[in-house]
Amino acid sequence: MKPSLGEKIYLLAVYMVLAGAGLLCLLPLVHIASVSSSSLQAVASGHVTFYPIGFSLDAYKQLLEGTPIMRSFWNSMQITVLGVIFSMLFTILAAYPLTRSYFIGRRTYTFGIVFTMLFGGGLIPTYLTIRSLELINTYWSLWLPGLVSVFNLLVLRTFMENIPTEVDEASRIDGCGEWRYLLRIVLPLSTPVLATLALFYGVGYWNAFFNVLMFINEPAKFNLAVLVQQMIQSQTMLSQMNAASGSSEQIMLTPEMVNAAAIIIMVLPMMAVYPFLQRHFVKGVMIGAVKG
Amino acid sequence: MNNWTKSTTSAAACLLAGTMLLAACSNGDQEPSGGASSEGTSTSKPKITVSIYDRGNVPQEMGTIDNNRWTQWLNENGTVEAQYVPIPRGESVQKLNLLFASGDAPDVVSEFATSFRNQLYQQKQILAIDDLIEEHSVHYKQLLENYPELRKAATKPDGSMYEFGRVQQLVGFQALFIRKDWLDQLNLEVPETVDELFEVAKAFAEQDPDGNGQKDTFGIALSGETGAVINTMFRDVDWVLEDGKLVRGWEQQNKASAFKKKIYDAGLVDKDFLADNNGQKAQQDWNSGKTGIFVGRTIDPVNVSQYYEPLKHNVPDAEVIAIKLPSSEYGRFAAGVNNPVQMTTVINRQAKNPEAAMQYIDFMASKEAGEMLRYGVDGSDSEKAANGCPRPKDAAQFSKEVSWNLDFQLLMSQIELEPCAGILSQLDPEKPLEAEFLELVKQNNEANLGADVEYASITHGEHMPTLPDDLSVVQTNVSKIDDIYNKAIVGGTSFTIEQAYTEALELWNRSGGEQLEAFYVQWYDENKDTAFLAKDMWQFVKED
Repeated sequence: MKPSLGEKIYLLAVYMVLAGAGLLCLLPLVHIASVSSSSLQAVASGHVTFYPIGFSLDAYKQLLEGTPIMRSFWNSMQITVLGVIFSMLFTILAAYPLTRSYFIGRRTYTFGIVFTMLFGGGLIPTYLTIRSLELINTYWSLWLPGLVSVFNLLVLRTFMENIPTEVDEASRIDGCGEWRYLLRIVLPLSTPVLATLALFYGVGYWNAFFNVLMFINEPAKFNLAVLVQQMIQSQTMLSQMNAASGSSEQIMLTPEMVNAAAIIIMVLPMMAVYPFLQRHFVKGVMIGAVKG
Repeated sequence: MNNWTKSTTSAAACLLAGTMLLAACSNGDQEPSGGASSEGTSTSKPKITVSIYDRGNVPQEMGTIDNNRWTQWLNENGTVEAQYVPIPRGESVQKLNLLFASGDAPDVVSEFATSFRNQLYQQKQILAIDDLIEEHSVHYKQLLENYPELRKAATKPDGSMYEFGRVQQLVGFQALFIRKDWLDQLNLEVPETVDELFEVAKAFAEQDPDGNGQKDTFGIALSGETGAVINTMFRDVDWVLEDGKLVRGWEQQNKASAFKKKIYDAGLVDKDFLADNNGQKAQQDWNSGKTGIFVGRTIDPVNVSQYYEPLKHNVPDAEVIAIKLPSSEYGRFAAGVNNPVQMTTVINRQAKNPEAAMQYIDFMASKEAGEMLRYGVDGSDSEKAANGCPRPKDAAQFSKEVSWNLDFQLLMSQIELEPCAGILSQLDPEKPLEAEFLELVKQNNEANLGADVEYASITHGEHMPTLPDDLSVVQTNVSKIDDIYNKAIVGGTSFTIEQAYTEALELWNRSGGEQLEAFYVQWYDENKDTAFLAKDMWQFVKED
């Protein structure tokens, strides 16, 4: 069936809008990548837009030699990988019982969990709590307070509830217990949503910034987000200072290209992980579609 | 089936416990790296905690900001053992607030933000230091005797000193750069008044000074520091003296905005200057040789690569001079200068051993510590240059080993290290670019420190009083006045300066601006004899 003229125009418009939206996301990144691999002269004169001018990898060399970026990278990895494992484990273990109709007090528990979404403790009480638990300066201060995101928990619970009860009944008849049912039936059926949630948690931990800043005091434990922010902030503060204070801060300036290089190193792992998880997203969308 | 469930349950529990244990271990591994600074050099010296800015710029192989070559040197050579508490520079006030609120704040706290230190004073979180200095200090006491202004700046309304600081020579910080080659090309004189400045900018924008046949040049920058310095030319600095009273300078703001509007309407500037809120675009235009008049800085050797090297790279024939600010009907003013007496450090009231904290500060203020932190080890990090001043032996090595320690120098009085500490001795006259920039530094100091120019504000921003909380809110509300005037600058005939003034006044009255004015009037009235004012700053000009 050949598309009619109207459809063609419609498709063209859709493609153009989507391409525009895609470019809006892509171009800033391309610009940063170009800045990070251009010469100082070209960057300082504002010549660099979407491709490197005077290609050089000096910024990356300077970054690796002059800043603790590798250590921060490793720290970020640790926070993210372990954090995702813990968070997923507890999210699953909390979501599954809440889907079982024979679980007594299900509504009470759900209410209790959802209730925590309404307010937070505030910075200083949170800090005092974490300190009295002796979690300051450990990554547990990042993992434990936000171990289970209520939103993610609800998403997972809703997904699990949609698994037909017939599947449950059939497996019970075949002699399947609670654990096996969860591990062999529910989780494999939930891979799309599990992949999505893992990514949510992963992005959250990878970008963890404020908690690291407040709860971690040792620079050796800082992650990438904090390091990159420190580098960029030092520069912004400088330009805001309009003659407000003396020379002291001037020399500390990290060249713009080095900051750009740091940003690239920070976004790269997330970009590398995305394509592998996208398969599951698509699958998740399709399952929904077939079910109608 | 029950048995089976049980065994699976326990297996899963074991797995869970195992993961946690594993994670705890991997975390535990790191403990020594951070904690080593305190245990590594265990002696009988008294221990204190000290805040240190962390900017993420310590090379990995040099350790961390709280445990490195310099902390080790300071702890070995000082009389106390300092344990450093890193404070991320970008969020320093927030982090320090958190530490104070939870009782974890370090004994010695350094912070640039005057408002934060004043807040600590108002909350009675810091110690009065007069007696400590009198009884436990050598170097700092000497410094106070040599520079009585330091006492003036440290004294709070209750009459006691609360802050430690550092003293520097007064030097030009901002410089009004103009393209000399363009002036010559078009047969123009250096502008002496704001009207001449307008004419020169007009010629720069319209008569193709770069000779490329296109009308693609800007007469002057309008965003970033250049915009601020144009305000300075008209003494548009918010609070001005009138008949011995400190009042808001409406008339000055109107005149400065009218001037900006005039150059904007004449098309002499980047039409999108308002989008350039940190002045980066203006700097790029200057560096690519598109702007004729621009405000840069001449305070630090790094300025060479910021404002001069890229320009000379793009336009090898470019010739730059630093000139005096043109005069306006309000007088002739200095562009931005540094703060010669900068307060940086306070002692926490909760400090267990204030004497030890004082000894630490005294050591940090000593010439011995200052020279070591500034130049490193003589012979291996730096060596004497032709002018008799230490200079880095190898620039790359020096920046890896030494130059990131700047935040340890917050108590170092640079003036004691002169003539070697300033930019004049740090630039290498053997290198053509640096030699040329050296000339610019000299021109700029001459232009801004002389007796024929006045400092536009009553004092450096860091010495202005801190507003009480309720007035800070008013201040935030009335700061939108600048937006109103910006709207007028780009508004053409549809929104004039007069209209902006009416609107601004209305906002001012509605937000409680008169309370602000009353505060400043009263503050000046009560403190004009004791406060650290512009005339005190000019005590620190180098005498030839």
